Amino acid sequence: MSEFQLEIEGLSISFGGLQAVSDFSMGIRKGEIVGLIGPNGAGKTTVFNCISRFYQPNAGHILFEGRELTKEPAHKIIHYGIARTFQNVELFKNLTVMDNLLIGQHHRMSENFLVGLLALPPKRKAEKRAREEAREVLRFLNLEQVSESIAQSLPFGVQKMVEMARALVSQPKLLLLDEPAAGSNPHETSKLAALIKRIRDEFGTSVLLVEHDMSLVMELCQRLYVMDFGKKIAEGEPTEIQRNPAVIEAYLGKDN
Amino acid sequence: MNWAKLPTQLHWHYSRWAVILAMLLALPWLITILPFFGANNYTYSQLNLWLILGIVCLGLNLLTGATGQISLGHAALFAVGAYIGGYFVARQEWPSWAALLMAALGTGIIGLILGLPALRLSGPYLAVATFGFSVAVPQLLSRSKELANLFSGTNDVASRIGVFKVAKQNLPGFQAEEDLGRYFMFVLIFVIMLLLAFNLTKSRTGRAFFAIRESETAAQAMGLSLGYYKLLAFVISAAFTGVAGSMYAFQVGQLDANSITFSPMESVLFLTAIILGGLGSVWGAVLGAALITLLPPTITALNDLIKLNFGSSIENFESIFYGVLIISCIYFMPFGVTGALHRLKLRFVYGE
Repeated sequence: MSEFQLEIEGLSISFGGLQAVSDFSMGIRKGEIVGLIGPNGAGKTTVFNCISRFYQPNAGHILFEGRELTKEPAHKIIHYGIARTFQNVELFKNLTVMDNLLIGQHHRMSENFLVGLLALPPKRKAEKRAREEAREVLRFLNLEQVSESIAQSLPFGVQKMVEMARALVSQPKLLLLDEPAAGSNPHETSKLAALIKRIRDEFGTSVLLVEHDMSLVMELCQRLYVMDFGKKIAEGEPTEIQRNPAVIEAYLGKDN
Repeated sequence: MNWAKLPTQLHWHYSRWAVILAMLLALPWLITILPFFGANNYTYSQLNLWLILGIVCLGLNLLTGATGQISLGHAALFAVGAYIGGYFVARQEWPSWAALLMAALGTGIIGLILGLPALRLSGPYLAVATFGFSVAVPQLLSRSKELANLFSGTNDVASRIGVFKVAKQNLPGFQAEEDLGRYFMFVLIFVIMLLLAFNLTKSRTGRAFFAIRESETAAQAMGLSLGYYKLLAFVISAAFTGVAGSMYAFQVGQLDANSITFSPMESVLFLTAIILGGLGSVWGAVLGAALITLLPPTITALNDLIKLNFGSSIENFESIFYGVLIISCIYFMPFGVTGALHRLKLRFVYGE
């Protein structure tokens, strides 16, 4: 058994002639908060989409707790304990926040369509428990007051939190956050950093985040992986990364 | 499309179900207040057709309204249900409830086949693929020798011209021709189907359907197998339609695969009903079905009026009318009548 909970080895994927990710490797230990950073178009979200199985890599392995994920269908990933958020918020827009969170528990509920059709007792019991758990997560994220609101009627920042709640309510072992700080001001960003730490501590989840906001990444992450043009150009602790010449060059360009 | 304010889940208490049942039972008398409707068999047969169409709409709404998968194949499913139900009462002499269950089961299985294209296609492409089914099934039913032998009796004169005679079914104690008795039988079935539809939309499975309509990407990330739930929606929707089909067989007593009721245009009519009533809403389906049942006599009356004033009636007036109706409905009331009523309520009751 490897030291990593999630381990990516030699991941490569190309779209037509474009090599989006090439020979990328990384690992996350249980309970760690790891950042994946890099300039626009570096391939960070592509790595995310490979983990959540929306993309099929051309080569490489993705191992989660020793299980090979590259052979699994996208809808199985959450069963193994990996939940994610999306860069542009993918909520079920016309459903209530509560419904969104109930769908987030879909894989943990087991009653089939016949039990649902006939509203048999197991259904009512499972529904009650699911609603209670959803309310708990909403309380944790201070979202109780919007639980019956239609998702798309909420401000963008709140929608991002609802998406986080939906991921959390699935009780993940690993949380993939795609640009959680996008569109937030510095004050909100530092609150977000504290929140992600609390999530790690209270829910015991590991966190992998793709982020542009350097202040968040530096404050939050124990280790960082830096990508540029689909390749890993550096890895290490935030303070090391800040001094790494290759990283500085990727972000700021070469000093001629 | 903006689905906000669309009531996807209504919370009803059991007492309200009693009220609904009472109203449905009183309807044959209440409806005589309206002009055109007297206390006669014609009125009751119209009510029966409404309940039949209502169940089709409940089923189609679970598919198109909830899951977002368009089907223009439901006329074929309706025919399949009618023929299966008819077969079991006429050829096997089963009791009507057992024939009805067989129709639900059989049509559900056929619905699985109809749903297969949905694994690869969506939107208008899926509509066209399922429309093909609507075209093929009546042809198959009217031309296949094997099927004709299966449905026709030994010395059946009617079957030689492609008509399948079915014994009309009614509640015990009522004559086969009495549509009022059949109305009570249909109300019972209708209320059960209504309850099932409500339960489903409020269950884990129903939420999965809505999730797929809203975002297939997020639905997958939440652990939903798109293929499974799309096919399941087709199967359940088909089973509802099969129940309605066999009720139709019990109602009219003879089936002709070439008749307008089983024609591809009927699929468009079903879709019109749920769009008009309100996509995704259980009550929308019921209301849409009522409007569609009332429309044909109205359309005929309108066309007669045109003939009277302009000297000639318009050809294909009914098709044109439905086309204009769908377009203006999507333009002016995208959530159908129930959506419009809901918005009026929000405006006047809550002042939003």
